[in-house]
Amino acid sequence: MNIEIVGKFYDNHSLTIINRNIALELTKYHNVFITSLDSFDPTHGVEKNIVKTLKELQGKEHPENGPDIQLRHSYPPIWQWPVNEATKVVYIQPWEYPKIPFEWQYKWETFADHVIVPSNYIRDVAVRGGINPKKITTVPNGYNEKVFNKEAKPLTRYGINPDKFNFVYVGNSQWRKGLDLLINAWHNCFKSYDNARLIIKDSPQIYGKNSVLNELIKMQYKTDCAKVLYIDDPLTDEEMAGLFTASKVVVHPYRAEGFGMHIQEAAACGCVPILPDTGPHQDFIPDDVGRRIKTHPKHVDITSGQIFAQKPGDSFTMMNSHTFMNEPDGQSLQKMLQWAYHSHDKKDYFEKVKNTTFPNTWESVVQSYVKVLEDLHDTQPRAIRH
Amino acid sequence: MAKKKSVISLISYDANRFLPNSIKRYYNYVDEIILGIDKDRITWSGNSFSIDEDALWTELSQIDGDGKISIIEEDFHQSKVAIENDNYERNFLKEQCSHDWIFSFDADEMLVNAKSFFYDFCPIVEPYMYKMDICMTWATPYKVLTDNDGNSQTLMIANTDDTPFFGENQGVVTSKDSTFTYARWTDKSGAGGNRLMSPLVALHWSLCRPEKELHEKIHNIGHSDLVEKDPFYQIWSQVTWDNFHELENFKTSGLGEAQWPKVIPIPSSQVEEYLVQNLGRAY
Repeated sequence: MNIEIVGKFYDNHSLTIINRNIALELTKYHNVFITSLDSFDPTHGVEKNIVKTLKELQGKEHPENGPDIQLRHSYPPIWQWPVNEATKVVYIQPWEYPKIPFEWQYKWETFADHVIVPSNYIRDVAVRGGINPKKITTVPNGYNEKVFNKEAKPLTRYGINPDKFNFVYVGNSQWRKGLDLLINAWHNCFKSYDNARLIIKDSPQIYGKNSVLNELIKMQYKTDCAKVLYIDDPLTDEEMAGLFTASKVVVHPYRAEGFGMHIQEAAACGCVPILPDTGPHQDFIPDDVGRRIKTHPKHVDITSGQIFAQKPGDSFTMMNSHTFMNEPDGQSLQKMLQWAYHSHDKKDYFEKVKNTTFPNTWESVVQSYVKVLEDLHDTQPRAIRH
Repeated sequence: MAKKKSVISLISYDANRFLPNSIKRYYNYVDEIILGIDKDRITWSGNSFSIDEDALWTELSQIDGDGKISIIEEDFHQSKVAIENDNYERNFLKEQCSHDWIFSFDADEMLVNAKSFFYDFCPIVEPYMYKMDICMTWATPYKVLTDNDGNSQTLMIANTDDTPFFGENQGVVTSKDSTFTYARWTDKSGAGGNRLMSPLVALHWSLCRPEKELHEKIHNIGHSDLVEKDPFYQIWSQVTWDNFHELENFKTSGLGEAQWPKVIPIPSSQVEEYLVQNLGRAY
């Protein structure tokens, strides 16, 4: 089977990481070639031999009749018809909010042959939005178990001291990520004399510059809270793994998330996860691993700039302006942070996470992709094409 | 161990009036102070200046109990463009510094809360010293007048609610690998990014000086080309105790982009206290 993957391949955005790994793994099963929407940039630190393989996949001659399947994974989605009528179009589509844009439902129904989403949470959102349930499959995002494991060498750059009780947060300052909740909780929980540290790994190269560092510094100066380390450099996978093994707890008090790849990676490195009591992580973090923050439904205007930072290509027709989102409770978050630092029974939780196997390696994930794509290949194209 | 700190500052026409007092504010918190003076006693704008050097050296040596101060003489008026000389002098002095963390305070800036800044704030921002420049806030006295009872009153730039106007920030801390590109703005912070705000407030006597000295100042500063045709000086000289309240929402000359809401009189002996009480508003 000839499979074309369309998306970005060379930076460290979550979509790109997924594309890269699917492409590399899928070549073991089928003839894969890629159409990259970005170009190689050495600042992203992607391994040389991986770049070499990607370049080979990019330079491969396309089959005369086009690919059998075109796998599209980008944001915003690409809505063009494939060049060859016989090519089946499959979307991999992440989404975070509780309602999908109406256009997606319409366009997927019109000409997508299948849609793959990374979590059952998104699948439910899409099905509630009108997608034919037979047309949408959940395949989780994977992780590289050779890099993200408990043996990774702890990162000691940026002033990180693995002997401190480090909490790690990975993400940007978008409202949905809940960093504001974490910052508020932090200065209420820990003072400068505590041995606790909060490490925030941001990615302004992807999500844009922000004022987080200024806010964190002001908070430390004004509240005398425990130290916060802010890292906005791009890190390699190995360095990310080292960040996790240098940390005890991964905390992600998100309001809306599509999957949460770093949660899976951090847990595989032995971090105890502190997460909301509901959300897509429920697919891959067992309920008894880590602790959960209570949430309550909060009424929000999803079209507000504070809630959703619009990008070119976004569309909100019929998405409705009002919805409910799961708001993590600030007090519950504080309780969990303090429990992690102070509690005597936390050893059991560390043992639990250490003894848990996280099954979504890229190898196993791509086997699921192969099944979806092979099943699809055996079906007739949608009638609307003829 | 805390990163060592070097200060660069400049000796020019106003050194006798301001420099020793300015250095006293930060002397105890830094490790090295590099002062630059033009070897021909010529300003960046190409005008001659003279200061009482004997008095200045005596005062500086009285302050310098720990031997932190060095004075560098060099040709700082090579260009006909004042700002180029300004940049050159700061970069030249920076190169003479022994330490990587570079603090740049001008002679007419009196730090109000130096202790808290150096002891409490600097350790927090130290991990970011190579990536970000640090800004301080100016508090600006406008003119010293005598009231009807013969008391000295300092007109302070203020908000409409009479609190100090803290709307102007200035980059003052960078690292040795930076290049000053517009006075104290560097290649890191000049475009507006990579700036960390700080609680540091300096009483900036830039405009608040005797008329003759103000005239000398605005014709010799790095951006003197911008203020030459500015009505600021003429307006300033006409402000009296009887009419100062008419100054509202007025322009700041070539010293910044902010509009100043008003001026309020503060007894000259209480100016610092007025600022200290309002420090929380600056950060």
